[in-house]
Amino acid sequence: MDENKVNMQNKSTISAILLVLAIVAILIWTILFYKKLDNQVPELNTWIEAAKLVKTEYKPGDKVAIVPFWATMGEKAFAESRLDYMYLRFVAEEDWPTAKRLWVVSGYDRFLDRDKLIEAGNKPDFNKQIGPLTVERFVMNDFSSKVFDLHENLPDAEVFYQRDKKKTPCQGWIRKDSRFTCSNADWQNVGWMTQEIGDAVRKTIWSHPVTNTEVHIKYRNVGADKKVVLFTGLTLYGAADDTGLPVHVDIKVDGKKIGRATQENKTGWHRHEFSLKKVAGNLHDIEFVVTTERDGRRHFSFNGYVK
Amino acid sequence: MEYSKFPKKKILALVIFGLLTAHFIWIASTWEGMGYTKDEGYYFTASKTNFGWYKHLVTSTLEGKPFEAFSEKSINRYWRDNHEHPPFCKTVQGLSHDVFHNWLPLLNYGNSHRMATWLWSALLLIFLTLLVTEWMGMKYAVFTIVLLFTLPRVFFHTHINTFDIPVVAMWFMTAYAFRKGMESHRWSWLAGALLGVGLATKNNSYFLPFLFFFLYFYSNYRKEFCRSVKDIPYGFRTARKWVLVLGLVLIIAPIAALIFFFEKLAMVIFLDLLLINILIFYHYFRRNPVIPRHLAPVFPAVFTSVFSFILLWPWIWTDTWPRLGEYFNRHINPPAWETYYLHNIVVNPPPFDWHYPFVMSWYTVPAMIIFVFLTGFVILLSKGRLADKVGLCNSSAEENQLLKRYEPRRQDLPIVTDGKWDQFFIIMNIVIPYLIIANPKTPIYGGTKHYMTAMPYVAIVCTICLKWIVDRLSLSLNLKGIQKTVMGFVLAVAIIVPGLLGIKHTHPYTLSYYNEIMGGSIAAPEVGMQRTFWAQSTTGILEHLNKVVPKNGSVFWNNTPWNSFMAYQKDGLLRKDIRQSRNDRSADFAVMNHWKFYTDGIYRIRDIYEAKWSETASHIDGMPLTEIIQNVKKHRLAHPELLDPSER
Repeated sequence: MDENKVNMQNKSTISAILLVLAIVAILIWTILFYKKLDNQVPELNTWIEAAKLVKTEYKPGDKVAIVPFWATMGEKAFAESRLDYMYLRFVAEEDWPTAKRLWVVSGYDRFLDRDKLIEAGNKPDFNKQIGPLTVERFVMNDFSSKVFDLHENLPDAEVFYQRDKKKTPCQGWIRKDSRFTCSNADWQNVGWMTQEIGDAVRKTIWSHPVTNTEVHIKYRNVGADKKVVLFTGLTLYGAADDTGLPVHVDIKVDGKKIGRATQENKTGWHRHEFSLKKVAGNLHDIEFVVTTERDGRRHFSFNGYVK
Repeated sequence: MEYSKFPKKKILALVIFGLLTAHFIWIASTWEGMGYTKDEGYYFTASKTNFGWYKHLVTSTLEGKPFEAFSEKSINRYWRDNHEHPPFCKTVQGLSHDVFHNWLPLLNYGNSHRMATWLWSALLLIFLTLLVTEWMGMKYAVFTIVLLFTLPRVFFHTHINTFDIPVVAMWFMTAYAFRKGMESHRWSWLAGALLGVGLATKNNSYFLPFLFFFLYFYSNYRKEFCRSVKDIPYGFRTARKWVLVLGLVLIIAPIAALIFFFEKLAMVIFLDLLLINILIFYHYFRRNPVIPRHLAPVFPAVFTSVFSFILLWPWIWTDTWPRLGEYFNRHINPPAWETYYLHNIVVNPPPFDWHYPFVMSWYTVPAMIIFVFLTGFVILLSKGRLADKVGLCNSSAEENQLLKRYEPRRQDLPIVTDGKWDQFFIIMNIVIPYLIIANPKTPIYGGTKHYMTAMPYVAIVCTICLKWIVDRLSLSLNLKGIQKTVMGFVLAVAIIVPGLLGIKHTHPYTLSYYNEIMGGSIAAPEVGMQRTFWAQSTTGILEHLNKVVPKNGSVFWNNTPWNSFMAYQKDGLLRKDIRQSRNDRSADFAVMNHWKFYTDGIYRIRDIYEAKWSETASHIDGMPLTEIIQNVKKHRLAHPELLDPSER
């Protein structure tokens, strides 16, 4: 046999051995993957136990973050315990202005930003393992008792459409529908909505803009002197429209515009912050004016707080 | 060239029978729990009417009215439903339903339709076994079969009565027949006939002619074909007069009908095709065909395919042109149902993401299979003609022969296709289905099923890889006989186990399978993929509905059509007094699949119903797929004692 052929055969053999090793390695990795996954899945009772644990030490001003955002199996237990909870993916990326203490109930090794939360000055003060779930608690450093929540206070806001300086008030807060109805078209309303957006289940304010019309949401006598924080987003279906135009929100304090948030035609939940430090006084009328040049499929929502 | 030994027919038959039996047990024992998907519902109904036409044909003939079934009224009655899709699958489903449910009460309503899909997969199994046996031997054929049907997504589709496994089978059988037809007139004819059946099965088959084109011109027929084209004038000069006259009539008749009797055009074309096909059949099946061997694959692919397609679809026998126009227009400008892909809802208009089939494969084929396939593909390329041309290997050397063939029966004829052509055959059968979906104009709502025709060839490439490893190692370690077999068996098991684990983990909601690379099914919401599709996971909540829905109560279903709902009731899975509500607001309960459409359906319904949580859900690894939401608002209004004093 010539030398070249022997060399080729040796190379082939080495390749074949390496392939066998790779196959064995992938097999072991796969088996371990499923074994780990099996061990990570909490039973319904484990969620119930976690909810009970939080409930026993729950105080007013506490919030509960549940990670991952899709693991809603035990939601009934958290809701029945009347806990202020939220399903989300990234805990440290959220604003927790009204949380004195934050409980984090996490599973599936999905609480990936624990260190970031701690680095932000939030102190861990409790940790317990319940089956595959971890229940942790953090004392939050950004807590303020003077926070005005836009979602919570929506029923008391003044909502109207304005076109060519002509003001058309929306019907007052309709409790059974949790909304202000602004026209016969079902989508022309300003109201509460729950949606999975920005990797979290969020309470938002539906405020679909209308072409050539301003949608005004005005909160009166808001006690604040630091900042307005606004979150905006389009539904996935809305953002899927390639021809969709941006939605603008002008923020007016006591009738004077202090800034504009623009929601581009993209998915996600986007944060905008506006300082109130240059605004005199600490009791204001704060108004959000939603507009767009073309309203086609602008399924727009926002939320936020003022402090 | 080393030829493969033809296996003993009895042993081959026994192996195929064993595989079929094992496969049937494997599929039938795992039907339970797989929800009646959205499209299945439509086909339950359409299959009844489509096959009903054949029953009507028999009964009316027995009653002495053989032409009644061909009347426009009868055709409209039996073929109108679901006429936007080709008919053949539904016809077979209807037959299967009658045989296994009505005539022999062996299976329930749903499974008697699903049995048809198994029959299609059985055909695929037989032809795949035959092909791989020729190329690599029977043991490797068994491995290919096991690997293919343990791919989780393929496993799922093998259970449900849709068109996807049937078109995989049709694609494979037609390509198989075409391959054989390259050297046989009779197989050429069969390839044409099967192409027509494929066209009547699902529209993936419209791309088979492209495959034929590439395969034909990659063979040694290329030059002969070009020569034949050049010789056409000579052919006219030397042909017999009656042949020329006949040819002229066949060409002129439809043109004349088009100009002077448009209403008769369809009939003229039909008669034209009938005559052409009689001639083709006669010439292809006579002992010494006069049609040159290199032209044999061409004519049936053009004429027989169209003819068999027409024969299988009575809907286009009347009002032909508008109906064909409607059908083709729909498939040239297909609807693009919404799909959730990489955090975006993908909807019309195009362009759609070209990387969809590649990303989906990367996430829905077990990591092991991806690795083995990619390695096999590299081996395939490195031993092909291209590698030879760039100096990577001597492709004609015996050690570089990956695929063997049976010894040709007629040694006197020149060899047209060889093992290298077979390698090209495999590559094209993978590349074309993927490229169809990668085309930015092709809608991508169908998940993995739309390029599933490539999967048998993916399994073959994996087998090539396995065989290469086993051959190399046994040569180096001097393993023979049983030792070599044991080593091959151990490696085969190692390759197959990950797919089985995936199935075990996700069954019966295997359409939600995502692989280890992505992080399993539960990674779908984070990666931005659909958790579930087609209402496949509805079965998991039926038992709970039976318990909680009030007598004669109503349920809104966000993605389960009426026909699937009825099937649940027929099969005793859902109480018969439960009504399907079309109005989400007034229903007592809503069954909501996690489809991220519009304004987030599940939470919108929860807001409307004032429900703070879902009653229950079907899950994979603790992740909800389909949820039941109670209309708390309606319930409280019906029971004022439950209202807060402020609300009364």
